[in-house]
Amino acid sequence: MIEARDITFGYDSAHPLLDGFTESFSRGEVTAVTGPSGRGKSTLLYILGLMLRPTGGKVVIGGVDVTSLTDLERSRFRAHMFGFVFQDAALDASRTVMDNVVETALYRNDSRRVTQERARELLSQFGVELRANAKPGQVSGGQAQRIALCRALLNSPPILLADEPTGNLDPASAAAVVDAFHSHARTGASVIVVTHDPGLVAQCDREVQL
Amino acid sequence: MRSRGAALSSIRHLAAVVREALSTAWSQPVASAVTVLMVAGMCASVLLTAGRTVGAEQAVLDTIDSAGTRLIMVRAEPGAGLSESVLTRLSDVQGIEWTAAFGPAMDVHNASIPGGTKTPLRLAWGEDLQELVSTQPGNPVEAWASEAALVQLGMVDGLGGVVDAWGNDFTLAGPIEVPEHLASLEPLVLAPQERGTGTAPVSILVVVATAPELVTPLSRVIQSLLAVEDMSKVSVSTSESLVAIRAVVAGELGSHGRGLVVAIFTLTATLVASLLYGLVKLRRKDFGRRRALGASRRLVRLLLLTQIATLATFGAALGCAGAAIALTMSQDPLPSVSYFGAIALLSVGVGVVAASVPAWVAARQDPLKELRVP
Repeated sequence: MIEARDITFGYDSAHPLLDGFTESFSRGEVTAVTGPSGRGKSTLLYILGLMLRPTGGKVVIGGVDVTSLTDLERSRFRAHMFGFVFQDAALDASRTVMDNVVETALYRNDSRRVTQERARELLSQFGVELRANAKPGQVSGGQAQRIALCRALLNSPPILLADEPTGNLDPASAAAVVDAFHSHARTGASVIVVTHDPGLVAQCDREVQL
Repeated sequence: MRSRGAALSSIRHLAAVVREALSTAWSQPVASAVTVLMVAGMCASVLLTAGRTVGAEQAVLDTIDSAGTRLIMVRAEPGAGLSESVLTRLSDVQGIEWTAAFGPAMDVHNASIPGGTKTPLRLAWGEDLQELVSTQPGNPVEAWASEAALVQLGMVDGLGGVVDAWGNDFTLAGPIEVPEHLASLEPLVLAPQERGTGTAPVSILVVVATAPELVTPLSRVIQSLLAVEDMSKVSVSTSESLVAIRAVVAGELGSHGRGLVVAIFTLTATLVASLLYGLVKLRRKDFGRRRALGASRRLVRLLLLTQIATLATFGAALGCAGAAIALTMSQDPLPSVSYFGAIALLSVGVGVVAASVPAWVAARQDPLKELRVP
């Protein structure tokens, strides 16, 4: 379980973007974080993902306060505990799809050979196994997002964070992504999705509004 | 067992880092090629300018050295009291590369030519003489002559016998190669002797120091160990003026070369740093993504530095090979292999140092800023 306790964050202290935000995200649950633009949805996601330090409050994962960890410890946490899906897939255009999917193995010091086996399974599961040796520029937007999902799920992370994951997808691709979120949540993971998409919100287990 | 496991894990991680750095370099062919060419150019420029100077310097120094910059020659007049026991006293002195003692010259002539041209023969002591002659058990040869001595003795086939004024004869063979430090004894005929009681008179003592700068202190030590009865009958000649010239040549050309090396390395380091900084800025989204996905700042730095070290190694090898070919084709003196190695190593080092600021910038890319879509 991941908890946000009294989180405060703002570039302007007089008008904080997040002010005393508290919420728990349970295991096995897909939670949608919604709200108008500029209310700090993505910022909250990056704070929960340990990429940004809050100006106040705590992030607690499995009972451990991770807010005050060093940069190196936060990097390790991100590599081992989190899977990330970004709005534009964020793939390295100069590397192959397979290289992109197994990228995080290096950050966890996992064997590339073993990881590649798992990557092939995931690519196959999401119907993009034939694109393993292609470059991201040679795949469609929907395929790119599924590849990014494969990368996020590579180490079966206990926490999956997604920022507008279906924003650029056709309905079929979006449905595949949502199915993947639910499948992953059923393994006992917490899935947190920032979205504007009412269709996606409707398919989540819970909605948290900012 | 645990530490062995940790070591294996570290090696595996390092191998993965190198693999990732190589893959990244391979995926950026233009930037990688430019980096390789810059380092190759730096390496070649240094070798073709400062390296050529070093090669020329070495050639000049070799010429000076061949004139005997390391030579110390002691000449003792009859009655001076210098004996072959001096070799025993010198045996423990550091800084001596070669030494031998020679007795007074005895006139000998070809035993087959009564009244033939007289040539000086010297009894000689010293283990270092073994490199000149091939004395073996059962070998009847008692004296060895240089080419010039053989001509003077009229021994065109290099074998025969010589006899002195008192009728003592020596079987003789030759020719032997006369080293630079014995050139002043030409025409040389020497009869190597076993070390005996140590009382046999010596008229010339030849000592070669291991380095030119040791000549002056060594000559003082040698004078203190001569144990002669009359020092006024002994003269010690060294080539201190040549040593001084050698030092000036080495100092002048060396400082000129160093200045060039520093200038070229500084210029190239600036160019490499600028190129990499531009590259990091172009690829900031990639570095931001790496950070977001769990790469530590240290790992991002390590990846970039490993990538540059690999490319720089390739560039340095290319530059060295190119410079060696160019210098050989232009028939210029080549610097030593160790100089090539040092410049190659320095080139890689300069590349890595130049990459350190861009690597620091890459590791500081903010995932939030780079990954958010407006």
